[in-house]
Amino acid sequence: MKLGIAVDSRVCMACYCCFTACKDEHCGYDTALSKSQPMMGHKWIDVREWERGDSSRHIKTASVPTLCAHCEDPACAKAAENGAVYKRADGIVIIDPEKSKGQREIVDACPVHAVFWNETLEIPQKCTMCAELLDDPEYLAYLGDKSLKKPRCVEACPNKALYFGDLDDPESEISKFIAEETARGGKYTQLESLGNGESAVKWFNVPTVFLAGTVYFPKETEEVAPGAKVTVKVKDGETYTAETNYFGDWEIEWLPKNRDAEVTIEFDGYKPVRLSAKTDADHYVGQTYLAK
Amino acid sequence: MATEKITHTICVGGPIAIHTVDGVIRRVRPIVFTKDDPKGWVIKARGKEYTPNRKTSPAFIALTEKNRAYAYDRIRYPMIREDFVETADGQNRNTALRGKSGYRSATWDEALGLVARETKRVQEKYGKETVAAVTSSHHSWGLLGYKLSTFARFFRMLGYTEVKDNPDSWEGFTWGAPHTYGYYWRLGGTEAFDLLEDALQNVETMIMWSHDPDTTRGGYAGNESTMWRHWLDDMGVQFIYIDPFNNFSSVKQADKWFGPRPGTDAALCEGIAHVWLTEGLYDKEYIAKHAHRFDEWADYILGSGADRVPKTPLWAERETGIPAADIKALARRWGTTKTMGGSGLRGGFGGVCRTANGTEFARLMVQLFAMQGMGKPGQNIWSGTTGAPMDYNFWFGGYSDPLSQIANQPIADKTAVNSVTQKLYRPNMPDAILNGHYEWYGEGFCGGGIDLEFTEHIYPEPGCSKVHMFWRYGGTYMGTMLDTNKWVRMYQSPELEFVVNQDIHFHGEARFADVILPACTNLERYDIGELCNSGNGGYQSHSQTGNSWQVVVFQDKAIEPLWESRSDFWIFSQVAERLGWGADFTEGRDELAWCKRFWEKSDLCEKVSWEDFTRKGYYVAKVPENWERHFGFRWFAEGYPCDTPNHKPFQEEGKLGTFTGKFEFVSESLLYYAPDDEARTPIATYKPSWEGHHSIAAKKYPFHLISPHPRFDYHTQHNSSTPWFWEIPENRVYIKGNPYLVARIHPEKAAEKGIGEGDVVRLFNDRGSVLCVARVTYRVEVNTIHAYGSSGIYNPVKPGEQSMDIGGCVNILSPGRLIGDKVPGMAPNSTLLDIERYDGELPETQYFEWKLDKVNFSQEPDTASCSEIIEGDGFAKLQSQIARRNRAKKSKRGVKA
Amino acid sequence: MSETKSGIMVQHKFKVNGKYKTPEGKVLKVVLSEVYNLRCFELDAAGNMVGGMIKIHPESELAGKLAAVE
Repeated sequence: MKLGIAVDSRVCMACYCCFTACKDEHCGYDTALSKSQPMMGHKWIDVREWERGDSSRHIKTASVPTLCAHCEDPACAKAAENGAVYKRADGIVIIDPEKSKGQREIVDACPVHAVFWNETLEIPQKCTMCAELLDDPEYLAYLGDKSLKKPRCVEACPNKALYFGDLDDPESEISKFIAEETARGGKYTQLESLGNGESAVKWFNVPTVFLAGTVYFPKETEEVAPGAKVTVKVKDGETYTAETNYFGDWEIEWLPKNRDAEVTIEFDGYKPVRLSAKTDADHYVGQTYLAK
Repeated sequence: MATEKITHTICVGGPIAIHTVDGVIRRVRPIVFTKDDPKGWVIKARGKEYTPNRKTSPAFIALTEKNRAYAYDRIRYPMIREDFVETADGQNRNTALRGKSGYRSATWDEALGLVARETKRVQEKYGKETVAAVTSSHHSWGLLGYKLSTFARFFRMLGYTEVKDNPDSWEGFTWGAPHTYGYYWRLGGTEAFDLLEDALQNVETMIMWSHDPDTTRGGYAGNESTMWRHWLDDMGVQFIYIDPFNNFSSVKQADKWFGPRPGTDAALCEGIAHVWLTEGLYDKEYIAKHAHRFDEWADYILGSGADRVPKTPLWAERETGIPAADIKALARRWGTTKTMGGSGLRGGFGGVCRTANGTEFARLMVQLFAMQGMGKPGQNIWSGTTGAPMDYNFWFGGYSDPLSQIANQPIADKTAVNSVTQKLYRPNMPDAILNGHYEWYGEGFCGGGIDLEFTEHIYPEPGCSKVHMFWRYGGTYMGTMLDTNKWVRMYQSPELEFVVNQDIHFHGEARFADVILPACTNLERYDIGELCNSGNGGYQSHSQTGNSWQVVVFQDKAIEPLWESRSDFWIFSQVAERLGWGADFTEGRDELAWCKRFWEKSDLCEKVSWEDFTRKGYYVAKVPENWERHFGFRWFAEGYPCDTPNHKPFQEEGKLGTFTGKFEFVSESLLYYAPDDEARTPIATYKPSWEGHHSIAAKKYPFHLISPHPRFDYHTQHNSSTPWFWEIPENRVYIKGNPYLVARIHPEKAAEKGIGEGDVVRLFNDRGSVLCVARVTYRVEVNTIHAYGSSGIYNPVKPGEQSMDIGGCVNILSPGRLIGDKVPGMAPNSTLLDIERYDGELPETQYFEWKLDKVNFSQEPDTASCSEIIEGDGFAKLQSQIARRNRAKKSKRGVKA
Repeated sequence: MSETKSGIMVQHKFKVNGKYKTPEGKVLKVVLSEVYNLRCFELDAAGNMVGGMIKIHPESELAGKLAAVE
């Protein structure tokens, strides 16, 4: 059995239910596996959000629920002394609150910044995947169905942005999601900060960058140009195409980061327009007016 | 592990399961359904089957109920203002010190005795009407505890000047839309029966105008409907959001976002109409059949009306800032695809309806949907937050049903009737008290008839006394009402000889009271209620269709009332007892017995025994597999008598609730009642705001403030008591012990003003100033400052005076005036201001906590201080102290037994 | 659609807050009238609502026998 959580960034609406449920569970209480999370300052699950775009013409946000990844090969465990960080048979990574005392290195070692320092107790702390609840046979026994027992964040998510279960069991909720999402064409986008490291928490659909724009017929017509062909050629890489929609808008998502790109806009009967762009960040390349 | 007790309740954020250990709340969770609960509905659409998740989906605010119970700002004891003097004549009571002074604790006997003595004194001296009382909305949930139940029973039996509510979440819809299409009984909103299925099967475009469903959550439905919009999105339905702020739903979901200059939305409506009229992109047959005086309006749009100005896309561009080409594209997409959307009421409590032009926007929205054949499949006013299948054969009351209130039969044996006819109107209550004379139109919500809007009121009513005692119940208005400082002036006036505040938390208004009565939370008393049921005959009839599940909950008492707090029912029954009519008030029932009455007088008693219901804690109504469909508004489009629930007599003939029974493009009701009203003309038109970019004041205050309904609060109830929310970067920034509200500004303007991301900024105009933290973002229209309204925190630097506020109470800046002389709605989104970087010292932060600390430590020397509860170990300390006491009590009882 | 021959939905024959007499002589007050159900409470001689909520389908035999009371 290998327990895991899948995060689907695409459907996360940053409603903060996971964040609140986690605080509700851990702030103010010692458990079998962890000491109390301080009332403020820690985010054992954090909804990391960033704005995408550099114009009011085209702007969106990414939101990525971020918690301890429960890595296959945890950097924090390597940084820890006397076995203060250990991995359970089910794959959950736990920081021992006694043995870890004074070991700030455990905080610094985490590539996703999901370990927090407790100033008062002088211990590193993080998500336990609610293992103390999963271990407790009495917890939620009243529901009469063990499969309903989930980490608090997953249970509180209204949107199926978080899935939990046994990664080794193809019938588990998490395995089914991963299979369906892969079939749908969704993207497995492990956090960049994890490098190529595998982990029990798996992130899906965390965006890369987009290029977007709007195409108009000549200014004096006051008309958008639907159906224009847009080609984005990434230097030394792939070519992407799009067509402008009923608003004359085009958008190409999932571009490789930090590359130079050439954008070509074509519409029969008008001069092609060439623009250069960079994929260092999400860009709205502008409003393009066609000319004869 | 100690044994956990599981109970359930509902709060404004949704239904929750509560775990308690040793009489202390351990955790709060969604209700997860088991195999014993019924199957959810299944909607078949476009080759797929859709069914909801098998759990309730409360919003994050519901998951803070534990913290709100043990909150640092909880009122623990009855308190009396330190410098309050109980003078025999009600004069010389240091009223000017209200808001500044501290408090001392009092026993319940002392506090209740004082309240009863003062009530008797003023009513004997001035008359019954000299007592005014008003409640907030939804600081608790449940048919027993709601304001129309226990509060109403007490005050109607006492006799009092009722303070009528304004429909502050959908103003323009109430005061505008009924003049176009009736539905005054729904306060301007429409009916959404079965429209979720219609949308999933038919819709191609969603127009989300001034609508942020992930934030306003369909009112009290938590996150019950968010999956539906994901389903629509996934099937390729195009979502077009229109809002000066690229709101939280939009920024995730929009295929296109338009940010019009605040207050110009009606101009955008007119630009769209111009395209449709000139290009023939509307349902001419439908209009010919169902519209009244359409051609006169069309003339106005096309430029042959009184003003001779064609409302072309280019004209609309000049007002809204949206390019004409984009307006044309929007109009064409809307006019050529099956489109649903709109705003207002459950369809979004967006800000446009709370502008000076709000009525006209609402009317034009209705007109635009009418032009596309409103009611036909896939063509309707519906914005993704209501209209799920429900079991209409199961009836359980909602809060606005007179049938479901302990003030009335059949729940009570005797209906309580108020003997006083004098009334006040909430948004202008301070004006009335301060001036001693006030005249206004309307009758509060005006759901009873379109004529009610034009009821004339004079305060004091001829032959009546002025108000000299004010009893404020429930969450604070500082943060939701306008021009906050006029409320301060009212509270400090000697006209109010005695002020009572009955609340759970020490929020804005509680700090202005002479005596404070500590009420307990929903978790500390019994109640009963249904998720998001606001009444099946009322203004949001069948609002449970905003949920994925229809759930009635026995709102069990999870813990005993904390400290000296008591249930509202207990407090009112104690005062009634002292006034000599306690037995009449309770009719001999305790709270549990009243709860049982709601079970007994509804269908619930047929479905489940009282014992099984209270043991399990909730009941889920099963939607029959082939439920009877009655699509909202289809009857009108297809010309048969209304077959949806909640019909009105004229609908029996297939007519609307307007004078003519049709969509009135020239309103006959306005021509009849208010032909000269300048704010709301017989033809709905875009009118520049009385406080907008065309105003002279715009030279001094060039920015528009928009302060929509909040994402991180509900009314004013969560932000103050839940410090966890202060750590959400889009909400607040916690600096030196104070959570500063985020205010959003466009990068272009921020650069002009020298404001950087994260800078402390001062928002100001002649009405006051508020310190916020700047978020520099392309998510706002360039002339807009966005800061959420309903700030739960009110923290003026000089309390009780017009001064800078650091709590984020931006309503300090909003105009106190109403939309129009005969349009009694408020318009906080017509506010002009300026913004600057604040380089001064950050002010002190302890403006009210010390008052609580002083009282709490005087009663319990080993308790935790406010700041220890906020960020130290105070919360854990309180919980372990209480658990220890409970265990001791239990073992003592064990010894006795 | 449950229209009667006259083209009026059956439930529309019953007015909200209207009083109707049953064949046995009970007086019922219709508190909600919907296509799904009429919902009523019995009124005692003094006009007080008593007892539990009574559900009558507008197309039922009983509904057909209800007589309006002034």
